[in-house]
Amino acid sequence: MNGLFAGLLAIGLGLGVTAWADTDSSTPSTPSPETILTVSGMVDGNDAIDVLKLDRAMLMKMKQTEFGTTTIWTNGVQKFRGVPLLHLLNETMVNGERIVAYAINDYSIEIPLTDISEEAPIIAYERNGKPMSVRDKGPLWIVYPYDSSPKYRTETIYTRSIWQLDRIEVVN
Amino acid sequence: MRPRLRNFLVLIALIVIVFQIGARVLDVTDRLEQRASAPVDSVQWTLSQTEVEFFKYQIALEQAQRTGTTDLSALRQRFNILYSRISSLLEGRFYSVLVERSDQAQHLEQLRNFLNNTVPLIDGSDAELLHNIDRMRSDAQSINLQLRNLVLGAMSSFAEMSDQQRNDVTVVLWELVVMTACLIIALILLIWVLSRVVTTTRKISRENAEGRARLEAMIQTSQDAILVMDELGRVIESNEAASDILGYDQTELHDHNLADLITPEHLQASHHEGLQDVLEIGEAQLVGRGLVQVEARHKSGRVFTAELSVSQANSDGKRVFVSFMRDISDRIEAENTLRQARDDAQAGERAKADLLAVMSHEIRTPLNGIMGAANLLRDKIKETENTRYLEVIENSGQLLMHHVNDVLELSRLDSNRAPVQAISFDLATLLRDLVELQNPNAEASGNHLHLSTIPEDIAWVTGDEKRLQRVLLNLIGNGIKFTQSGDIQLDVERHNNSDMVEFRVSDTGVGIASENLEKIFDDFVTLDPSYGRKSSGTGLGLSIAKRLVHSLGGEIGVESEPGEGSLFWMRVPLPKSKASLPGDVYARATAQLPTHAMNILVVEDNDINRLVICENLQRSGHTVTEASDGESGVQQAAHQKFDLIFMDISMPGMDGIAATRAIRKGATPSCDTTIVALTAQAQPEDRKRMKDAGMDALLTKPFSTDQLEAILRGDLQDSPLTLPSTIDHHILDDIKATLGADHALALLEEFEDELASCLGANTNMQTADSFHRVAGSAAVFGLVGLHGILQKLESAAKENASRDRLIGDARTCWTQTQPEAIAYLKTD
Repeated sequence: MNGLFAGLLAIGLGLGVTAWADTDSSTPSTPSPETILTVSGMVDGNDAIDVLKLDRAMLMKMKQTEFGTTTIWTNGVQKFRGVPLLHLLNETMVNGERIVAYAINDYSIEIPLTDISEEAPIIAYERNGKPMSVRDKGPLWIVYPYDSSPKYRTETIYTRSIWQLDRIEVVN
Repeated sequence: MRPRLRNFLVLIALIVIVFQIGARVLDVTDRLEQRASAPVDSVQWTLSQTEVEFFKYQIALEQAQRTGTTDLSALRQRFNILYSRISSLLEGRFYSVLVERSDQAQHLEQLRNFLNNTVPLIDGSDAELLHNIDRMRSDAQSINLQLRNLVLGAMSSFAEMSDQQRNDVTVVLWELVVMTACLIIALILLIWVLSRVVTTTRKISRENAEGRARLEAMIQTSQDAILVMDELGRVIESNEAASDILGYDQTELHDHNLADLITPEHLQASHHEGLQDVLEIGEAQLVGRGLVQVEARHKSGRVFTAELSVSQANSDGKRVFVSFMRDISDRIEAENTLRQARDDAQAGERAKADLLAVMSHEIRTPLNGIMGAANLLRDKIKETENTRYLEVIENSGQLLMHHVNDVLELSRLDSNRAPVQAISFDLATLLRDLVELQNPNAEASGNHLHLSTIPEDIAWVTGDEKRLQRVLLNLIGNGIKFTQSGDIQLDVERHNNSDMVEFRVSDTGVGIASENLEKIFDDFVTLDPSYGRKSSGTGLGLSIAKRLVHSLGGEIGVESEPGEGSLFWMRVPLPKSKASLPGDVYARATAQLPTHAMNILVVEDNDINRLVICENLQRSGHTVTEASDGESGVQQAAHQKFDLIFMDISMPGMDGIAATRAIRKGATPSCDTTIVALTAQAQPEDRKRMKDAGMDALLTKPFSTDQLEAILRGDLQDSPLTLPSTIDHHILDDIKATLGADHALALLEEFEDELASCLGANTNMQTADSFHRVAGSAAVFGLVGLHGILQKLESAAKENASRDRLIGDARTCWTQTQPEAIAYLKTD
């Protein structure tokens, strides 16, 4: 069913099936741009763990969302652009009950799928119109529109706002 | 304080409290919401993580120094992660908290410097980075302590903050507790107020119910039928009495039209019209008119008289009629019986009075005959014996005549036929004349009659002189009658300058027993029958006097001591008046004809007539001289001065005309005396002869006492010798000149129609207004005679007096006047 998963994803992402590889195939067949996010999980009806490596260009081709908000870690209103997490998960067709997100420094958090909505969180790849460096909590940052509702201003949400994101696992 | 006001204030207070609580709750909610938004994420984690990253960076530095270039990318990664951590501290919301502490701000500044100094090395080439590793390690070493202090300081700051927040929460919770307590108190207060309201309401409703029950009891026990009807006249409520009176039970009454039920058949139509009026105009025939009597029908069909009052009320915004009804058949019947009894009694009384009057009158005529006959006999009978009998007849006749006259006068006074006069006269003169006149009578009984000094304020007064004189005459007469060889005194005085004049007639006679004092003014009272023969009387004198005094608005009374004498007093209102001026027509007449105590000559061949006149005159206190034929009349007039002469016209031998001529011709004392003709027939030509002969007035037989009295008063107007002219030719001339004869004649014809309709058989047309109008028309034509009669008709119509005679006069007058007026208008 590998082919089907890849095919479906290809339709969704407009990408070649070549992006898909087993966890053990460390060397891609063609030189690929730098992977910035790895999504792994079980595709529906498949017992094996599929891994999807996404580079910046692929993320930017997905549905984009943009909002401005202040955060407790920055000064002033920040404008974030990125992919809604739910959209990303739907596209990859992995299923599970929660995701585990990892940062470069191996900091990790869990988000139940039921807590993920169309609007929030997003996987931001731009802040104030510029790509984010590691120093600026990049390249990816799970952010919520904190100013829009008190429900995004809880400690749980702050904890889930993981920066320097590089991996997402969908688990049961 | 009144309960309503108190409740109101409590309510206001409650509302204020609730508002306060509401405001507090909102405030607390707001703060709780603020609490819900965490200002920072896990502080301990963030701070410790920063340290962890710093240590990892130091390890990476060591690693790079040891292994060389291979691990430089790892070093760079570590630095970048550390950089982002520290920049979070520098830029995030910690910062604002941290910089409040000056030492923290210093640490932060040093951290920033450390980053800024390190960045160029990290971003530089690998060689340069390796070259500087040593310095970077020492930098890191030196900043380590700063970071440590920063973290510790921040931890204590956030611990304080946390404490502060907990305190805040506690305060908020306390406020909530207090507010809840307040709310509970407010609620308890509210419950208290509500319970009071409920209690009050319950009390009011209980009182209402009691009041209603009482009202209900009143209504139900009322003897009057009480019916409440809606606008259409349908019975809404009724009481038991209504069922009793109308015969319908309550179910039969309710929702039925009362008018249909109880209006008798013959009144149905009009009642419905009345009700229709109520509905359309809103004005009821019966509503608000108080008690009215109506005919109502019982269920059995019996019609009875009911007393009904209907009033209008509003019930729930609708108009209702409340009707009280009472069956008054019994009362009406009782009233009718009473009225009938009263009418019967009055009719009986009237019949008695009439009988008395008629009898007296009828007795008088034959009595006059007897007296006349006795008088004739006197000349023919010479025997002493028979003369004595004749005297008895004459005395008895005189007495009987006196009685009859008394009774007649009494009935006349009772019927109030004679109006009370109010004329101006000289009271002092009246009293002097009266005493002078009665002196001979007094002296005949050996009495002396005195008049005490008349006070100055007794002079000209206004009143009924004639009646006053009658009473005084009666009192003086009584005094003389019941006194032998004693004194009779007349006193007069005015009360305190008021209108009231008191007269006292005192005598030294037999007196009256005290038990009789109250009776003597009653009718037909003679106290001493044994005395009667001498002082005969009907016993009517004093009752007549009493009636006269009362008719004058005065009072009369008596004090007496048997054996010592009596004192009769009377008080009569006699307001002072001015002495009549010479220019006054009436005063002239009275001057010519003294109204009191006149010396009068009656020349009349008919004994009965003469007797009647003389008796009348004598009773009025006049001195009368009789003459039975013309010659003796002339002789009497030649011998003394008379104040007035009554002269019969048709007499055997010298008639009244001739006698008058003789009197006027001779230079005798009475040649200027007023002569009044007495005749049954007075044709205009006769009148002319009388006037030519020198007569002053005409009294047509039979004449009334009033006419006679008018003559005695000097009022000759009603007894004119010449008929008034019926046409004023000057006015008629004017009309003729102004309108022309033809037009005037046409107008006269119109006037005839007007007069005919006014005098016609239809009494409805004979109104005061119509007489007034026609009288005006008559005056326009100068028909003065007719005008006068019509004016009298007008006032008669106003007084609702009988007009038959006047209408006859008017017709006669018109019949005589019309041809004359037409003839006058037609002549050039």
